[in-house]
Amino acid sequence: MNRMLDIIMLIVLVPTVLIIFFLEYPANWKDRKFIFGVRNREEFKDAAAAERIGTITQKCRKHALIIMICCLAAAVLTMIIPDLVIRMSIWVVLTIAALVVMMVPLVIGNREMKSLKSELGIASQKGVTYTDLKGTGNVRVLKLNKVIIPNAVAAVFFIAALLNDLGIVKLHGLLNGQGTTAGLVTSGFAGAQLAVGLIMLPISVAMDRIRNEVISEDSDVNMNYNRARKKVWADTFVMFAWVNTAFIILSLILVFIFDSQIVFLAACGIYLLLIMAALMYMARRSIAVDRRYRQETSIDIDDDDNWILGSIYYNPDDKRLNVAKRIGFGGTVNAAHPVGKAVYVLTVLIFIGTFVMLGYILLLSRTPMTVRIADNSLICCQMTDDYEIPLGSIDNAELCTGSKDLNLRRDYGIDMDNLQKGKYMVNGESGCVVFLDLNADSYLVIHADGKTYYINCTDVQETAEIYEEINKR
Amino acid sequence: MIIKIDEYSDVPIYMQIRNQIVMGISSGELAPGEQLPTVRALALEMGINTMTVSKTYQLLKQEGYIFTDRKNGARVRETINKSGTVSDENKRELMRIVSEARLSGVAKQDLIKLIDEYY
Repeated sequence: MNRMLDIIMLIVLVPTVLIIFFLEYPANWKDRKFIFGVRNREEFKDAAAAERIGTITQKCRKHALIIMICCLAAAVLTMIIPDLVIRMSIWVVLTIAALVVMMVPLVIGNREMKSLKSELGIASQKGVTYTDLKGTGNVRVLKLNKVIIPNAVAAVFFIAALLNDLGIVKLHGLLNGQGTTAGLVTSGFAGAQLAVGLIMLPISVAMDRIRNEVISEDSDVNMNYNRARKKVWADTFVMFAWVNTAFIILSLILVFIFDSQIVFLAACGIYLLLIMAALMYMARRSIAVDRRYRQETSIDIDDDDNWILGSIYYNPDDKRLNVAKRIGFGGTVNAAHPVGKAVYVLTVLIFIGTFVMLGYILLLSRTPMTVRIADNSLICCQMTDDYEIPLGSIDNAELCTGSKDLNLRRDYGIDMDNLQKGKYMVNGESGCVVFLDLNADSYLVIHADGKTYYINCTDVQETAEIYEEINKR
Repeated sequence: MIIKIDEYSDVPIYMQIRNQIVMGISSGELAPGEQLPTVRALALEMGINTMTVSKTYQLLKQEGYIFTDRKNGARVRETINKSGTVSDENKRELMRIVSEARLSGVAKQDLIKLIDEYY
């Protein structure tokens, strides 16, 4: 199962860096609409300028290739790390770092392209916009029902999972499973996936209503171009909605019927692989649309100065929130718009939150589990006091060995490689409170207040001492 | 029809839109009875305030170039009132253009040729 997680992370990392490399560092820049976030212009066809751009693009492509190889080598090295928690933390950091460092040559390229523009004497047309009256409000490609239907289907399966988790209907463990579990694990998962699908709904509508670009004096060319690029986005959202729904259905079937975590993780891998493959295909289609209309482009506005580092759109004069991306595929927000500012702040907070969470998990995995007796209570502590059992309520206590042989199944709580904490099904008995470090062989089984506790300390000797102390009292 | 807006121009945005729509009607790019985008759609497309577009439409309506109704939105008038005279404001504008052309050394014939071309 550990290796399955590595495979999933590889499925995320490898296509991501490949998409960035092939999308943003093209071997032939001439048929691209943007070069490192700078609009490709007629003036760039001049021999001297073309040679200079060729040098810039080749240099940046070479740097990006080196960075990509380093990222992939780092990924392979990460797989060697034996500790699961450390390995997973490094995977997350590596994925985020790969996204950032793959952009570094692009930022350098953007800066060099802008300085080339000023050398060529191309004056910025900041504040100039073109609008085609014929296309205004008319170019809509997305049929809303095509994204609503898959989400509605997913919602039905989510409700089924919720009813199962609440114990109203029994779907879990139909063939091989271990019976109904407490908690909302299955429905929580289905709900999270459904939420992702639902979040995509307003985004798909916003992308379909994004401002039409004016590339020609001919309104028909403009409408066809905008229809073509919006079709790519609409297809992407419809495809994502169906893949997401299929994954929810498939994973629920796997959980309900086969109850196998390995199969479930394999399904996660296939899901991510499908998403990545589809994104690659759509990105290629997007490039093809731009290439097809490149010859028909007769209006070249220069609003490069509104694009910080070629990727962040900042235009206080523009009241629109969403605009088409220059780097990458899809849309982005105007950072000068109040909602855009909030989106950027939220993004930064999510990144900070991810690192804080990683730090917490690492700290948790390294903090020993201790059990002590104080104020006539048995206190289980790891970083904070997790459980407190009054000694008077203990009916009996038993010292057992072979913690790794316990059949543990989490309802909710923490489930790390050797650290189990929370409400678990233990050897078929549900609702047990578990506080176990599986590296320590011996553990206590305590019955108190109608509950069963499985607890131990990281130190085996301490567990034995606690057992003696309980018996004395 | 393509409308170009310059945020940093001395001419207010509502007037830039108005002028270009009038030119579009005059050149035939906007046909009589042709539907114009709604205020909201045009404002969203241009990335400007809806009040600005609303002001443009009000002005065009007052001047008799377009008509609006609740059901169909704004449309170019089928028949535009032909007064047969140049307004005082346009006379002043023409005077300014002719003066600037003369100071720039443009020959009268060239200017008349240009008027013929645009008319």
